[in-house]
Amino acid sequence: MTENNKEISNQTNSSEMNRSVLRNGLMLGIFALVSTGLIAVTHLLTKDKIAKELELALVRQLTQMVPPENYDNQVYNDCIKVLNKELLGSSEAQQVYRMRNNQSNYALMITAVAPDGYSGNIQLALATDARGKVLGVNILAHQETPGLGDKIERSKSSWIEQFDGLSLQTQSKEYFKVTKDGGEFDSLTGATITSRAMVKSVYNALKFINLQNKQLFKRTSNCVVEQEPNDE
Amino acid sequence: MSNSLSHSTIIKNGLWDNNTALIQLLGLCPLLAVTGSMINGLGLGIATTFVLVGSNVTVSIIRKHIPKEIRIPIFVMLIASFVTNVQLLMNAYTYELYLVLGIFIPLIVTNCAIIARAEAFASKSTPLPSLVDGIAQGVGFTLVLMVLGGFREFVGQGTILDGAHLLFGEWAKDLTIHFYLTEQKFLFAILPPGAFIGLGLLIAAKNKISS
Repeated sequence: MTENNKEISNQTNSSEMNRSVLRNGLMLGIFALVSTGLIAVTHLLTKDKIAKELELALVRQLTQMVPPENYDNQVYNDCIKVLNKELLGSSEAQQVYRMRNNQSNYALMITAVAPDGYSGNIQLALATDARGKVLGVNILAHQETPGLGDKIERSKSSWIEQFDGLSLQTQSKEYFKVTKDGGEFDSLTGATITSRAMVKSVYNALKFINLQNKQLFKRTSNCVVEQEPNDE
Repeated sequence: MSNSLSHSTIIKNGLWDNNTALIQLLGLCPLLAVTGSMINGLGLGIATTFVLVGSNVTVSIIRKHIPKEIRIPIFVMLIASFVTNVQLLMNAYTYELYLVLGIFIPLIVTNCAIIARAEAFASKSTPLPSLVDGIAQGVGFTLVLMVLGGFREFVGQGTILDGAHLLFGEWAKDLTIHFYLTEQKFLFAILPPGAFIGLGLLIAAKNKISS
């Protein structure tokens, strides 16, 4: 008799537990749905705006790296899209802006992605003259560690100036490595992964420019950047 | 903790008696990582305070609908989605600020101080005290970040407020104070060991003053 009673109460206990597990699981599922749903909505709402901010930032960087008095074309309207996952690091099309002076090719700026940063992609812009010599490298977006990897930003340290003046004509492949790997680039203290990713990505982008050089200047412009509307 | 705590007690707790970094010893991972300079400390502090206030108020509002057994995973989801949303919105609408503070935001997700406040305070209190608690704890955390950052910056490279222009604009370049010029930075203070020792000294000082 007591045995039986025990069994029955065990059964009710376990079925009660089942119910509460089920209820809590459902609750958790609902919360997960709502919170991911909110992120999805925010993402959709901000996607275009973020892309546009990035483009405007790109245009600002461009004038920083190549002084505007050196070219006379409307550089924002002289742009093509290129896709090369292996050398430019992204499965999305990257942009190339062409700067010309008196019809002759002066310089170009290409965007690229270093896919192996310490925490995700580092988006960068590389400017070279018509012969492929680096005029400057700038960071467009990254999520590296503050105080360590973020020193790749021009405003935070001069590390990124190491690229200035280099070209594949005068520097060997071995040059484009951090000193730890036998190359010529000082790595950022405690942020070798970031440095390595940057050096590799710039090298690959240079390689891409070298392979394509004349083509990049010749192709018809097909990605016009909208100017910021003057609504102030 | 109950609602009977007065706002001034909550504030005093956050700033001193129950300080996130010095007493609860929470949020140490981002704290040790970014306090290489005072301005970096301030940046992380601002971002953390913002998220802390948001998560405290949200948790407090829905606290009665959260089953006790699964509150922790729910807090985690709430905080993660709050952080991600803030990151997306900042990126879209305050791009300049995002460039400066954006790199600190992923660090906040790993900050257990936020979930600790949700659990210890917001889940048991009404929204207003939770708001006050979020601000007080956030400001307390920020102050420790700044003191530790300032200490390491001073010992490591002989400056205070280096990089202030990143946060406040070009005029703030003049805020940087150079105490001495070094060819070679004192890396020990700037690298993680300096953070541990600096924090240890701060905690010791706090205990000394309190006792």
